[in-house]
Formats: sequence, C-alpha cells, structure tokens
Amino acid sequence: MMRDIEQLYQDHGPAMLSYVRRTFGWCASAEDVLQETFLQALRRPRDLQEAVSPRAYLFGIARHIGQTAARRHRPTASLESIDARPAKVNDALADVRRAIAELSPTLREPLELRLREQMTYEEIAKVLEIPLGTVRSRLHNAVRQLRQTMQ
Amino acid sequence: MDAAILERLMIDDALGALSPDVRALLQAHLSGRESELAQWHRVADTAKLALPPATVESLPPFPRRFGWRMAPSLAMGLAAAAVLLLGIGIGWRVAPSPSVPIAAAHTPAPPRPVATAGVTDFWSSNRLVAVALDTERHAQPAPHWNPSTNNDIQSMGGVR
Repeated sequence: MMRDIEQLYQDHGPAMLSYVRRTFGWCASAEDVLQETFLQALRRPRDLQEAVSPRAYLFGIARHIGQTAARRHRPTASLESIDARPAKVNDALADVRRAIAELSPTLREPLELRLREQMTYEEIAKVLEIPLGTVRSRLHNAVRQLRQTMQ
Repeated sequence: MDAAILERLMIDDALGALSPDVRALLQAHLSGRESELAQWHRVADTAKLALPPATVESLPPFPRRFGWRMAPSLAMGLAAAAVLLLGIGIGWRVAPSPSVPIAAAHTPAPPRPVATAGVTDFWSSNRLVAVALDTERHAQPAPHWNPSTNNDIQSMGGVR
C-alpha cells in the first residue's frame, strides 16, 4: 500500500502540486495541501483502492482541502486578477487567456482540468463532485463563450 | 440531426473527448461542412495554448513519516487501554486500603459464649440504676448566674 501510494505521489504529485498552487496558491501552501491530500488518502486506503481513477480521487481530495483553506482565507488578490494579467508574448493568446480568466469558476475549472490536466469527463466529474452531464454542459458553455469572445 | 446535438458533439470532438467511432460518424455526417468542426477545434486549441503552461513543480520528497503512522484503530485501542489503566490506577490509589488483610477477614471469628441467662438479666439492676441516674443528671437545666446567690456568697466572704 505504501509503495502504491508513493508511486501515485511520484506519478501525480507534480501535476497536483501545480494544480493546487495555481488554484489555491493564494490562500494555502501548495506543499501543505499536497501532504494533507496524501495523508487523507492513507487514512482511507480502501477508498483509494476502490477509486476508478486514483488521479481523480486524489485531485478531488486536494480540491476539497484547497476549498476549505479558501473559505478560511480572505483573498487579497483574486485568481481572476492574477490570470487576467496580459501576457507579453502574444496578444491574441493574451486575449484568450483573459477570456478564460473571465469565465465563471464553474466553467473555467472543468475547462482547465480538461485542457491542462487532460482529464476525462468522468475524472472531472469525480474531482468536481458533479454529474457527468453537468461536466459536459459546463464544458460546452465554456467553449461557446470562448468562441464568442474570439469572434 | 438536431443542430444543438451536433454542436455538442463538435465541441466534444474539439476537446478530444469523442471515441474514434463516434468521431468517424460525426465526420461522415459533416461531410461538406468540415469548416464548422474546424472552428470549434480552433477555439479549443487556442484555449489550450492560452492556458498558462503547467510549471514543472519540484516535488518535495515523499514524507517518510507517513510510514510510521499507526493505523487509526490501533491508536484508538492503545488510547482506550491507557485510559483504562489510568482509571484502575487512580481507583486503586483513592480507595481506602483495608487495615486487615483480606485473607484474615475470612478467618472465622472465635465463638462467643452464648448467654444462657434470662432476658431480665440482660441489663443488670445496677446498670439500670446507673443509666437512670445518668439520664436524670443530663436532664437537669444548666446552672445560671443568680445575683442573689452571688450576694449570699459575697456576704459569706466571697469565693476563696
């Protein structure tokens, strides 16, 4: 079990750390959230073993912990304002980036999990704890909004 | 096919979520209108490019102390045992220790002589008289200070 979870840590730890830092870095230490995530996973080994996607299961725990930290913390700078900073590399990409940042969190989060983390719809549903159909409709809405912005 | 369904399928395809079979069916259905699908692909590809790249995080080493964590049930059991032992210890310290060894308590007491006298002899007449006198003495009121008595004492020369 320890070896399994250590392997999971090696496989998904970097992506999780990046996700946590990006999403909850303003309110919590990403390393602390990561550690607490794996501690919780160790406390419930059966849940981890029975998880269809251990990656989605671990991301879900990390998101829970991050959200708890976010509720306790009063933000000094919102994620939107950080992400909305224009990139100097490419103006067009900066516009799209801003458009993504302006998406509501309910739309942006599944989009980022899909495009950045390459998660399946099922995994996103597990992480966000929403039905599969909701994931699909949120992704559709997000892409539609982006298309309108780009046009 | 319903336009809304078609649009949803095109977005799913742009996001790379369609299985090869469904994708082939969609492309066959869109023959001659591939530009629509290409537009959705462009949006998704641009969004993917626009997202800040996932920085390669230097992962902190796997905490070894995870391995030393005992199972919650074991910890609970040990805690319960510790509390039980503590309670027993406190109870043993607080309870008055018997002055007579327990083993001695079980030794049969020596047989007392059975009174063979009659009931009237249970209290002897002397004893009854002593009790009656004692009761009477206690029933008398406490002496009070009496000025007239004091004067009599003074007239007799006072208390020496």
